[in-house]
Amino acid sequence: MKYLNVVLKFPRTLIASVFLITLLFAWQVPDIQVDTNIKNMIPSDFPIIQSLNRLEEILGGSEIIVIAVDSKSLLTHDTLDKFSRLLEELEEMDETQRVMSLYQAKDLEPTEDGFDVVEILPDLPTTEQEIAELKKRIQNNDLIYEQLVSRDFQKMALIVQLREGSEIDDSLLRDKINALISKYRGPEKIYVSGLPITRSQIQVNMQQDLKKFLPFGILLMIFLLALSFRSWMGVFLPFIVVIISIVWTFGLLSVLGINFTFISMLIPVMLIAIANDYGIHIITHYFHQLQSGDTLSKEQTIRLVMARLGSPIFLAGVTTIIGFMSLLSHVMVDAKKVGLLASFGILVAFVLSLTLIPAVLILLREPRLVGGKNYDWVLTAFLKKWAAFFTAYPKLFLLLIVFLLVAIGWKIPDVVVDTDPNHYYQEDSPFRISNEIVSETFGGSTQLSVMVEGDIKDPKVLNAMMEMSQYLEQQPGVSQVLSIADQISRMNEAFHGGDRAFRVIPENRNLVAQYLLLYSITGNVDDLERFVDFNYKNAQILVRINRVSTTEIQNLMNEIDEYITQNHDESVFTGVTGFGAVMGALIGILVRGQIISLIVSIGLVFIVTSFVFKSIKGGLLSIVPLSMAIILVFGLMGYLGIELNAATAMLSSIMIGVGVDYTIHFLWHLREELQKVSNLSSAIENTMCTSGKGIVFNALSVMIGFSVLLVSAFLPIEFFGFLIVFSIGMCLFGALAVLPALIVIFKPKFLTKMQRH
Amino acid sequence: MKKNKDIIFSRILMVICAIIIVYWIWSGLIWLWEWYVSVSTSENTTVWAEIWLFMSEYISVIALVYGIMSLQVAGLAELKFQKNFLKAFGLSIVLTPPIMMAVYGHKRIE
Repeated sequence: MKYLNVVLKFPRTLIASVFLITLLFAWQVPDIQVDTNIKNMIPSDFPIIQSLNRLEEILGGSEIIVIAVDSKSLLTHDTLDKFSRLLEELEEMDETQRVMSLYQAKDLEPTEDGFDVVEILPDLPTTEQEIAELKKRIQNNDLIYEQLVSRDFQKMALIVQLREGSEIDDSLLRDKINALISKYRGPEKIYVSGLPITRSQIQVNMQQDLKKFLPFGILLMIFLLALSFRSWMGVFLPFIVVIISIVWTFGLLSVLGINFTFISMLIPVMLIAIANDYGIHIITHYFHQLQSGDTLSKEQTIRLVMARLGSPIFLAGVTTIIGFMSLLSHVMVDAKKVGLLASFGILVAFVLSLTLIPAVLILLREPRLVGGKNYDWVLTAFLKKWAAFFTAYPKLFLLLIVFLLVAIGWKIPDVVVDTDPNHYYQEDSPFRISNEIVSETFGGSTQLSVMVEGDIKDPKVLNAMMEMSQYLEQQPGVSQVLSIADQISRMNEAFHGGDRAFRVIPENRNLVAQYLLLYSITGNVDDLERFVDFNYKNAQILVRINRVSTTEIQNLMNEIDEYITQNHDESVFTGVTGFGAVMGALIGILVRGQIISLIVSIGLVFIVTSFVFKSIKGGLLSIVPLSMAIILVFGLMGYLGIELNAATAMLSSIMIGVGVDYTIHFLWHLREELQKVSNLSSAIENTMCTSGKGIVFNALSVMIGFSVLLVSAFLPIEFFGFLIVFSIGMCLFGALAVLPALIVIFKPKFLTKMQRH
Repeated sequence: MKKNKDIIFSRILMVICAIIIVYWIWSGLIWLWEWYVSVSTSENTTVWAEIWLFMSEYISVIALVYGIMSLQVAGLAELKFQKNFLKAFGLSIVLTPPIMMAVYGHKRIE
């Protein structure tokens, strides 16, 4: 351990260097940018993101905010007048591209010369008769009825389409809209819904969560360490390692220009739960050595402890980092970020535990009030009986485990994948209630866009769009389909005196061009710009989706793709995009990422442990408890209906990274015990009482560390907290129950080979 | 000799750290003064109302700072005055760190 010579000769320089680097990293932390855009979870080179960007480039922003007004006297003069002022203010906002509402809605009215574009609401109604006429006009226009005004005429939607958007600040926009609607709220109820609102809500909750997680997580850790070590040194050294690793990690996040997302919130919690492990091991052995009564100098004691712990700590560190690094194989950008940053944080903690802690120990006075009463005798007695049971009835126990795995594991296919950001919140949260009301009344605030390319005035293209619209309208979950083809068929109908039989695309391209010219003379051609570009070369079919799961959106997208391939020219319908499509695409990414990262982490852990124990059986034994924990966790998710989402998708890699430490520690110390005693049962019992205790304390500290996630405002984070605590418990059970039982049955040679040495 | 080198190197580094910290404190004081001026001239709020708002919003951070202060003072009682760390830490949290030092922490064990 040459590095230790340097550490022990220059302890002050090392401490000062670490302090300086920490300050430099801390300087970067305030520059961290928060990102709540769901779109950014997917790599920018993915086709879905490229098509969405292209759509925004050609036809403007595809994001909408729906403001729903709920009033029993909605269509009266006073109410309509009141909300016309809100509409004006919404239109004046810099972020607004256009507002769609009853106020701008138009009808095509047949005339002798063709048709006129007339407003549905030219004047506000004042009498009961006028209100009744207005209701009739609304009912006859299926672009308005149940789309902008509810079936019972008590709710009205103001749909704000936003400008193409990276420069729009969601929080500012939300504040602006909230300030606006607060002026108009009461007695009418107002609900606001839409992805920008969802994102800003996520941002607010992220900040609240961080304010809870970090302080309470650290406080919990301080109390745990204080109770375990009963010494300032035992608390402060692991604590300072965790704090420094968090600061360095967040500093790196800022330096690399990585944005902070709601999944990144897991990083500090992971570091609080995991990064103190190495320090805890070093302090435990240092105190144990001081209490042993050996007459070693302080430097000799430190050298002895570091020599003893070097290999197992190194192995535990490497396998944990491997577990987290396997997240780099995930397709989801956020998972990669967590993998990279958590690995860095753990690496920092690992390096600092091996350098900073000895440097501080050599400078500080030896603590005099170490230890106390032997408070862990209950655990020792329990572990002895535990070991005796599993070594006495290994086959019966393993049979029970196999039965349990089958009973729970068969529910794995029932695990549902969900990427809907609305589901980050409890069903009774005001935010989610707002979204549900908008979805149920007006057909949802989620949109898909089927992109169309070609000569949009060509009747062939328009007819293909009509066919596509008819197909889409029949799909479950689709509440409204809008396109330029639909508008042109209405113009044709109006041109033929309102005869419904003519609600078709005219056969002649020139006629289409004439209709559009006529529309531009009597109406406003801007009404059409959300459907088609200026040159009539690109268009979109807008598909509004009602309350459906993201799996259903994904299925719908697949069906649309299949329908296009089988029935249409793919050069005309170039793809399906929009934010609904992004959520749908995330599903495939999550599932693929989950499988790849699981295989990579299990594979790497198998290779490393096989290499360390110089035995394939050793590698297999290391991954058996982990595999068992994975089956139980995903089976439990199936049973309880917990969804696979952006947070829970990282479970397996983290579980493997953390859980493998327990099997490694157990196998490593069992091998050492077998050098001292020849009887396998006795060696297991001894390992259980020494290393087993450490493993139990370690797992408990990790479980308690992660338990702060249970108070998160986000359901995915809360479920992640619950599942990670459960999975660490399962890894612990696997290492201290399944592993000894397997060893008793198979008696692997790699454990006894050491004995001959 | 090596110890001297260690001390010299570490002092150079600590001076750099001190400069950074002084700069931060200075920036913090400027920010605090600007905040005070803006709040005290505002008609919508008062300094005390803003402090109360800050405290209620950052209660968890305040609890953490208090916990760390208690930890450090208990460490002082343990290392300097040979006291029971756990007892000192518990008393610090319950009675506040200065009261713990006054009633328990400073008395040397005979």
